[in-house]
Amino acid sequence: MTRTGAARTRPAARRAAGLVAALAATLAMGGCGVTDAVVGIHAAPAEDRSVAAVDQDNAQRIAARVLGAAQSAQAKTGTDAATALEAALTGAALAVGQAAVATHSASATAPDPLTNPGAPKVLAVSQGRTWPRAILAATLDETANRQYLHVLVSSSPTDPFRLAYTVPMHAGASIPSLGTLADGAPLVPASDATGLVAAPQDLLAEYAGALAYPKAQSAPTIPPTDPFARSLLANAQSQTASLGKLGSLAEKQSVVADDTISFRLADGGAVTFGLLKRVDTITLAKSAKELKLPSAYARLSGKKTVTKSVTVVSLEPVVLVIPTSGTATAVGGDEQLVSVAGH
Amino acid sequence: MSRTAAKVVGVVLALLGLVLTGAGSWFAAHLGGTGTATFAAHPGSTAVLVVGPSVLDRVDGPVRVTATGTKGTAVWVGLAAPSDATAVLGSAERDTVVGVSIRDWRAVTHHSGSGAAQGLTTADVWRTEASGTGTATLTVRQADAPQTLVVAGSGGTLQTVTLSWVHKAWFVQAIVTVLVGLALLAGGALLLWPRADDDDDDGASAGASRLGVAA
Repeated sequence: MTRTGAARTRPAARRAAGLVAALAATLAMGGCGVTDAVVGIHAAPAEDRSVAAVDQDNAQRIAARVLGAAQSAQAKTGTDAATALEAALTGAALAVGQAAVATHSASATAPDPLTNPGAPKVLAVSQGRTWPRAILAATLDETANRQYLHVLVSSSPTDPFRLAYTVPMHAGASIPSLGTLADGAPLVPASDATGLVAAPQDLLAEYAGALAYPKAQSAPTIPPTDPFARSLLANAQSQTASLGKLGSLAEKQSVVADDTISFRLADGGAVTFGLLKRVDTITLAKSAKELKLPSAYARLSGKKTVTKSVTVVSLEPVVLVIPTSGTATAVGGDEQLVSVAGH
Repeated sequence: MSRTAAKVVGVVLALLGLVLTGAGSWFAAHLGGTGTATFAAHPGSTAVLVVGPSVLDRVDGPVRVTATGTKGTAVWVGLAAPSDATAVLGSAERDTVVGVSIRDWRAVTHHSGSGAAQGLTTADVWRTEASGTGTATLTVRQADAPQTLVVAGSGGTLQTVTLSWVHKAWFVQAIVTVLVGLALLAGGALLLWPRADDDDDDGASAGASRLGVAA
């Protein structure tokens, strides 16, 4: 009897145990123990802050917008031009743009790279999520078969990108790889010489010294053999020859320090955009009675002739490639007349 | 004793089955065949509404955001990297979505900050933007996660911002929950159903007990 009773109770216990196990499994799978994984919920991925500040599509869109706005601003005149320029340009480009608008009717010494900028191609975006941020883009003027480099800068989170540099590249010049757009290119502080033959600000100062006339300073790190430097020297020599014994020409360059922007290249070097200010001074000899100014200069200075001297101020945005060893090279440069003063 | 235990288990299974069937049906009704979970926030203020990655990027699927303002409100929606959105907003007044409540399908918000957000729509940090008069809609993809969504209204107030997650598996899981619930309910009913040998079983147990006492 006892054996029979035990035999009859075991199946019921097993059924109950089985059901409890099934219940437990059910609870674990889809009941009170519903896990995030079962319904596809996971933790949000962490933000990677060491990538390009702006993705490629947006950088392209921003570059097209900013270059279009800059082109539109430079086509305006008067107060409209001033407002539009300040909205679209900043730094070196603003200084050059304002000078271009102010001297437009008097001179056309500088080319207008934004007249027909073409579709911009983004070459690099600054790396990281801090400010300032910068975008390096290039356009090709197919008419003149000339390539232009543009730097767009956003100085703070609420400050939209504005054009900081537009510089024509020298014929045949090129810029080494800046790495992938997605990774971004770190910005190099102007005083940082890490891994470079010279800090950007020091190299710009050396280049400026090398462009001085008639006494150029030694520039072993960046010999002034590029087309822009050679053109400046040729013009200075031509002017000196024209003046003859009636006067002398002196040219002095200085770096506008606040406007330097540098991107780190993939090979560890850097490409630097800097702004130089050139002051040309023509001093008349005592034997000269007066010097008749060209009409463009006369309009800017308000004088048709000068008896002592004439001072011409120009701005020169330049692009230098700084290697990790060897000598640096200038790959782009331009000049824009700013003012003329006669005495 | 074993029969009593089986009945207890039967009651538990039946109750659990009822709960799962009810819950599964409720979820299936709300999610629909597409498995869309929609949560709504009702800011009712001029402050911006912010949805961070801890809410926006938790599911591998698109999130459709629809913002509606009072009549004539220019509604704007922008999507940026979290640190960029934080930098642009600064300490501006905001309603931040900190979670969702399934009970009432509501986006739970936390109010903080002061002052209006400056330069929001002109900043160059937005990966995607959408705008419209009265309403604006933007779909958030997960390819660029993590990201933060910011909704702003000018010329009026934000009335409702809905966040819709589409995850087809949720509907299937709801149906499975219903089926499991029904199975448990059936199992429980079977255990509770009176059987012909209930009296014999009780008698045998009583007999065994008596025998034990006799020993």
